[in-house]
Amino acid sequence: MEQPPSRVEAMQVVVDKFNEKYPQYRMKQNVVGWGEAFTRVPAQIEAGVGVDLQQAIPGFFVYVREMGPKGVKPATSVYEQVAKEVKFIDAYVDQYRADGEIWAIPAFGMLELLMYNKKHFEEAGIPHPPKTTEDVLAAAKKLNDPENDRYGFALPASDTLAGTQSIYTWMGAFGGKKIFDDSCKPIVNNPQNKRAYSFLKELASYSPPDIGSYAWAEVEGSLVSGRASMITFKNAFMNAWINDSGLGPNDLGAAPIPVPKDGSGERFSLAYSNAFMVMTDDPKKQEGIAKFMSFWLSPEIYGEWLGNSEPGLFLPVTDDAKTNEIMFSAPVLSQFKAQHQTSLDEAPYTGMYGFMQNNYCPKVGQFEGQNFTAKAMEKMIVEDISPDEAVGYLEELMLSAK
Amino acid sequence: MNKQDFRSRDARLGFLLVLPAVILVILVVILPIISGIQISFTSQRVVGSEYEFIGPKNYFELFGDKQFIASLGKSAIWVLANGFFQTLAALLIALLLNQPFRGQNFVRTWIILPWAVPAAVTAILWRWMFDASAGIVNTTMKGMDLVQKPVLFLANPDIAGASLTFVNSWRYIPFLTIIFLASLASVPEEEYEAAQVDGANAWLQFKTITFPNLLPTLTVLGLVGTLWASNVFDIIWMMTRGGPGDATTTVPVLMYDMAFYGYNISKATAGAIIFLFLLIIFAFVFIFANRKQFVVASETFQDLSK
Amino acid sequence: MKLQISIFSLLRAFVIVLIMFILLAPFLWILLASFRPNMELVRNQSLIPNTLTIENYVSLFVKSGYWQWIINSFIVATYTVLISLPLIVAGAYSVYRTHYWGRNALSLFLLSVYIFPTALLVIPIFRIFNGLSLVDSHLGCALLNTAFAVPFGIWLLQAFLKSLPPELEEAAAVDGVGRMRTLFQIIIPQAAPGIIAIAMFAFIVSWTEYLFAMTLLLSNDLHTLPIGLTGIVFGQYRVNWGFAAAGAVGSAVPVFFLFLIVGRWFIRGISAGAIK
Repeated sequence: MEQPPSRVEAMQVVVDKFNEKYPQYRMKQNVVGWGEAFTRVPAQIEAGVGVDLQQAIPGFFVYVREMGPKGVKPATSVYEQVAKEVKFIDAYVDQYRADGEIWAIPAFGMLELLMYNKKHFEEAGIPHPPKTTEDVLAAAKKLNDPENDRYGFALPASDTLAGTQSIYTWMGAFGGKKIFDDSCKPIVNNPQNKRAYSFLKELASYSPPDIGSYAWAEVEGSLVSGRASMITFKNAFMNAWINDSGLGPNDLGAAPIPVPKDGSGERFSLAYSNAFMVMTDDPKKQEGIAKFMSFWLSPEIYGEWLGNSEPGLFLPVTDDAKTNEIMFSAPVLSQFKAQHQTSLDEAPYTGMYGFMQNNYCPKVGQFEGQNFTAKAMEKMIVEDISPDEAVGYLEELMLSAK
Repeated sequence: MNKQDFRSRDARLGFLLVLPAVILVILVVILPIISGIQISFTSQRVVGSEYEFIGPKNYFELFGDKQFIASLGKSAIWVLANGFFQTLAALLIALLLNQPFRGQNFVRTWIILPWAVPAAVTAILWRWMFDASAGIVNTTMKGMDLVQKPVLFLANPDIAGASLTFVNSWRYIPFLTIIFLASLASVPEEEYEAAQVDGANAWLQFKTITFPNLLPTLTVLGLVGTLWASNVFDIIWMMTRGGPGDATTTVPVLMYDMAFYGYNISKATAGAIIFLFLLIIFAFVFIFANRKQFVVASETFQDLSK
Repeated sequence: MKLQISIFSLLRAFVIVLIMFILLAPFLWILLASFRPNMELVRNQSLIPNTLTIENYVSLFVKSGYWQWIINSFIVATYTVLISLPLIVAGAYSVYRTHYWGRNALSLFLLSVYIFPTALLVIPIFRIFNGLSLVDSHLGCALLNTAFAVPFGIWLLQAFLKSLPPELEEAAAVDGVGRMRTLFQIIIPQAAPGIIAIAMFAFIVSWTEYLFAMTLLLSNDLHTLPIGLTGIVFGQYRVNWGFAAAGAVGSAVPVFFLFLIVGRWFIRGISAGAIK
């Protein structure tokens, strides 16, 4: 499902090895870009030509589950078979628990950090890493130099997934990670989120003027090119940093998401569990799927894959020392050990909008799909409304969802 | 062969020849529209999910939906800006290129290139060139001291629509120009010669010869171009996804977002049907107003069968 | 008077150069960009490159599915041309050279395909095509492209047909030659330039088509260029600009050669006066 050629290639290596080891099964990779997945995958299922094992992110899982029984099948039994062989980190499994079943087998995680340019901080004489949100604002203000096209931060204030994820991460840091109450009623219109949006509004003023059209690439590009000094991002651009920044691995800072000084927030990051949904009822195929997932997540294969497919982006969903050892010894990743370790350390302090431990609110599909948090952010910047109004608008959007 | 016999054989032949095209159009256009109308009266949320019949509820909801009404307005502006601007610009360019000049063949061949590359290329090309900091358009304008601050082509809600119109025109004007050029080439040379003998000036020649000869082309492009422009989706989606805010959210963009990211395919389809209905009304009015241009002149065999 | 004319033609030359610059310069720009390392493009897109590299093309040709996409695009486009041509020729001949009740309405009906809100009705199309077993096949995709190429194609060809002198046909009719034979032996050979132009039109329609291909072609090994390219260009999380530029060039080059070889026929083939 992940589309860039290097990722497809790395996945193909796993698939080929599996097919070689278990000749009784035949696994074939079918790549669909995320931009097309929402139209194409349901169409495939409708036509009865869907795949047996479908990659999912939480929002997409909610979407496919709307199709009812002909879509995704309960994966509890497959999960249990796999769990006999590998030890999963619970946080990644929880995102796919609902109605007493597990609906997907976690494969890799992703989470947000504060990524920054250490050189910029040192040149400006700012101590780093920033630990509090006040630190972030102070540093951003000091580093901001629009005259010379240099900016303190690059916050995507755009109607994109990049916007959604960055903004929600900060909402969580301010203590607003819970967006629905137990009956799935939106509860975002609260003081924590108002503070978060007020923080974001100030941060946006230290960001490039065109953040309203930023997606992932622009955010990453702005840090790598030295145009911005800080971003909220996945630790996912090691290759780009080495090749394109003109700086060394030690100049890239990675810190946990800062929290408000007064202790009102909490240590938090948005974690994205990428998992695989079982789309077939056939017990034979399910058995093959269990075999494949166990094979993929076994230390030698998994460690190698994590280390090389997109160094830094994919985090292990298993708690396994050997896997991590192999992962850390990969050529590029080994140069960014400290930063990558920060990602691993943050994994327990993560969450995902709308997903509680044993269930989720179906509205989260629209919340993510239509980028509600980012829409509110965009409105706050474009129409220059107050943070309170922006949060009110966010709640309004969530109420309009079905 | 008598006249009656000839006529009916002529009619049968003509009908048979056009039949395959008609069947294809029915298959690809009419059947999906019928299927779409069915969906629009249900509560279906995601493709393939279960649903029930809910009558015209989706339609009622849409008429009260501020965003939908706003998108109709955006679409109207978009269609006017694109349909009108493109046709006019293409006509002017065609008139310009119609006079002989050095390099005419080169220009006439290569002008078409922007139309012949996939939309993804167009979108990335311009998104990139319009970039505020590194984009070539901004760096060049800054270098020439034309602007102090970079122009936010896609991030400024007041400009984004115009930027998209420019890009979409960049893509379609070449094609329209070629069609106008072809049409200009069909104007009989003798008419101009006769006019010159009479001492008619350039404007008079345009008014009495060029324009009337172009009129059928202009009318068809007016119709088809409007329909094309109204359904433009890929360029907008790939460049701004309807943003910033709702600045470039036309009906197709809003409906696509609602169908696949808003989990409401039935309501989105209802929106598409309303839009379709408006386009049909436009088409009827347009055709009726220009009905003379749409009557196909066909001289063959009429004399023969007398 | 003379001075006036030269100022006028100078002005005209300037405007023509300007228009062509706006239309074509982006292609030169992206061609240049495709030979530059990603780093340079991320930092600053100055006009003059510092370093040149073929790395982006190595990625495109070796690591991506480029060749497969090109072949698939050609297959779909060839099908589209082969199916459209008979339909367009027959349709144009029918609408413009025969008489029957409702002929005018029918020609308008055909043009009405462009009313169709493609982006939303892909799902019903998918269902119908699935029922006909045309999903996940190049042929299904080509049929859709054909449906959208034929109506305007018919309109384009009519201008050309109109310019054919009716006398030949009438003579053939007087000699008792059947209408179908007349079509094949007299009309089609004379309309050859028009038919070449229509073929190019259908080819480009198919070459640039994205939405149908995206919905109908489920398997990776059937994907066409616009799908593959969109994946490269709008990937999640990362965009490699240099690679994207190479991909863009890679998709424009085949079209470039097409126009190099048959480009001059295009405009000639849709102009009625051309064969005089």
